[in-house]
Amino acid sequence: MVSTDADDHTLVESARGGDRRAFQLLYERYERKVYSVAYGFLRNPEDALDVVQEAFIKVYRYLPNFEGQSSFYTWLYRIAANLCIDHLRRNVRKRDVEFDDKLRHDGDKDAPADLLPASAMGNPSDAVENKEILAAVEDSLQYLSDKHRAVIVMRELQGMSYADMAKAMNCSKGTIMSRLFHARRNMQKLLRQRLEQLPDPSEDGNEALTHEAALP
Amino acid sequence: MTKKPTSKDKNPFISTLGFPDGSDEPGIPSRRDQKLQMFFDDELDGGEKDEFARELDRDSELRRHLDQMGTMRNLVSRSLELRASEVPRARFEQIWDEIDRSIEVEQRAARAAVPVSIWSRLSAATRPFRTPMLTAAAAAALVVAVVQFTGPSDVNQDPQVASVPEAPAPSVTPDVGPTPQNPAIAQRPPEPPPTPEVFPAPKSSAAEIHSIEFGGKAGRISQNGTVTVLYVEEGESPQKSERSL
Amino acid sequence: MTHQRMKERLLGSVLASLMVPTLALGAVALEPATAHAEIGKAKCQFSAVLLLKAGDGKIPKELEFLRSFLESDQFAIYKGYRLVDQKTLKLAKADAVASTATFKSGHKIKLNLVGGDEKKLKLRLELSTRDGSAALVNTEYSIEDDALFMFDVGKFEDAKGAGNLMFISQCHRAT
Repeated sequence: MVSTDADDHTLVESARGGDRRAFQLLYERYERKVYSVAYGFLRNPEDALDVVQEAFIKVYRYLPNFEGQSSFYTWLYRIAANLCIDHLRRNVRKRDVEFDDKLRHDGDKDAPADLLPASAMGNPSDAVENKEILAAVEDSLQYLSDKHRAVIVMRELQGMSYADMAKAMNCSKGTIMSRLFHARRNMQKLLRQRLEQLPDPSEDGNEALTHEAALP
Repeated sequence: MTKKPTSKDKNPFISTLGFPDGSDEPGIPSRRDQKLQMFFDDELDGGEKDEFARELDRDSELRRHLDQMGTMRNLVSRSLELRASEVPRARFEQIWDEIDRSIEVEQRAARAAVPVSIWSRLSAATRPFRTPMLTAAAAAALVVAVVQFTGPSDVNQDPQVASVPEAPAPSVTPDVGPTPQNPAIAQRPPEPPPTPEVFPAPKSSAAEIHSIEFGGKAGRISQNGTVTVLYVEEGESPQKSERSL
Repeated sequence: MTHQRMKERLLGSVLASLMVPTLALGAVALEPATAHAEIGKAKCQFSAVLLLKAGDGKIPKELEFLRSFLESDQFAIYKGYRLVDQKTLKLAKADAVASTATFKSGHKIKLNLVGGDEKKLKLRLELSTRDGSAALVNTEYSIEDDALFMFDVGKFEDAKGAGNLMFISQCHRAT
């Protein structure tokens, strides 16, 4: 009987030997991480849970073929990312606004000196716990195109290499690099627009908004 | 085929770094931006990495951009982790049940596909002929028996014995308890225990739901064509989960 | 033939000629109503079954009637089965108040016969929490006679063990 503290390799070997409990422990270890990846891609809680389910079923089915060249976690994430990409391809949505035209043609002259407004961000280590900022981040993700959101999730959340991302999206490494660059730029611009509406965390009290920014 | 002049020819770093021209993204990043991204994503090789690290030491603007990329990465991760933390534990347990069930079903199918023994195969092969063969054998046995009994042999043909009377069937009488003292007073036998309601064998047919409202924490409907199952979640489970670690 | 006799014969023919189609129409009018008569009564059996992931896979005698369902893919993860409770409800469409049953688990079911036709019963069901304080589900549905409708209420534990509690209903029209 495997222990809950056993490492991934031990659990994988036990699961391969038919120990369902070992596989369940792997599931419980990574269920939320896979969900956050799937949610990042798909933006729908039920679709994300479907991907979690499909990913682990697929992992179990192909466990005998897992050679251990990458970590279990990397292999699992790759399967989840592929399922998400397949899901997006099957359910191509027409968006009213993919992203603002201005965002597409970003040259150096458009790049703001401050990518993210320091006044709104405050201390970066506090920013990651600020619910308003996190909501603004999630909102910005939503307005990226599917391809841009995919590369952001794969890189920022999953830490996938350019080569792995290129394989997952069936394109060249150069296309991935270009896509990622523009995705980050667009994400920064979208987030900047939203953060500029937030009150400065260094000031006391609420500051009335002087104007409404036209958010896409 | 003549080669079209491309911006690759103008910017030598494009070929080095692999940014294609004419990709689905307009606007080619500057050399500095490309290297910054690759450094941040740990995609630069040893020599190039060290060189860029030295450039970072010299350039505070570049360092600020790198920090901002780090902040953005942390924000994206954190916002999605927060979302994942909001999914109730019970929902993940339900997903596990579905995974477990799928694995079980696949394993059952795999076991069913195991090759059968030669005796099973022989049995399956002779099945179509079994009934006619058995019927013929039974008919032959009957003929033999008839011939045996009706032929001129020393069979007992006592005409007095027409049939063997059957033993009388045991009568089923209700248990009336002890014999009443006064036979004049007729005692009503005690009521037999009520027989449980007998329902016919259940059928496979999905329900047609006209309206539904889930209370509790969550609910969902599963209809696989043969039976309808409603899954409801009460909320704070008062009982220990059998799946708790 | 006298005038009186002729009058009587004429009246008789007129009456006959009116009555026959009236009777025929009446029969026709009655016939569809009889064919689509609303269900007046029904009987429902609710079995509270505890499904366990551990066990020898044997289905107890009292759950034999559910064998084909318990052995189906839908219940593939369960290896142990126990009948915790069983109640029968008698329903009459005329009843304004729902029939209720309280189970050993504490859950309560309220059931109304709303209607139906020759093929299906139409029912309204409310299943409440263990402490009876709130409804877990409130639903109106149509179902064929003796088709099963199941309610999985999640984790349950008693002195004999823990598992997933499922309420399995089977209803049919009654005379």
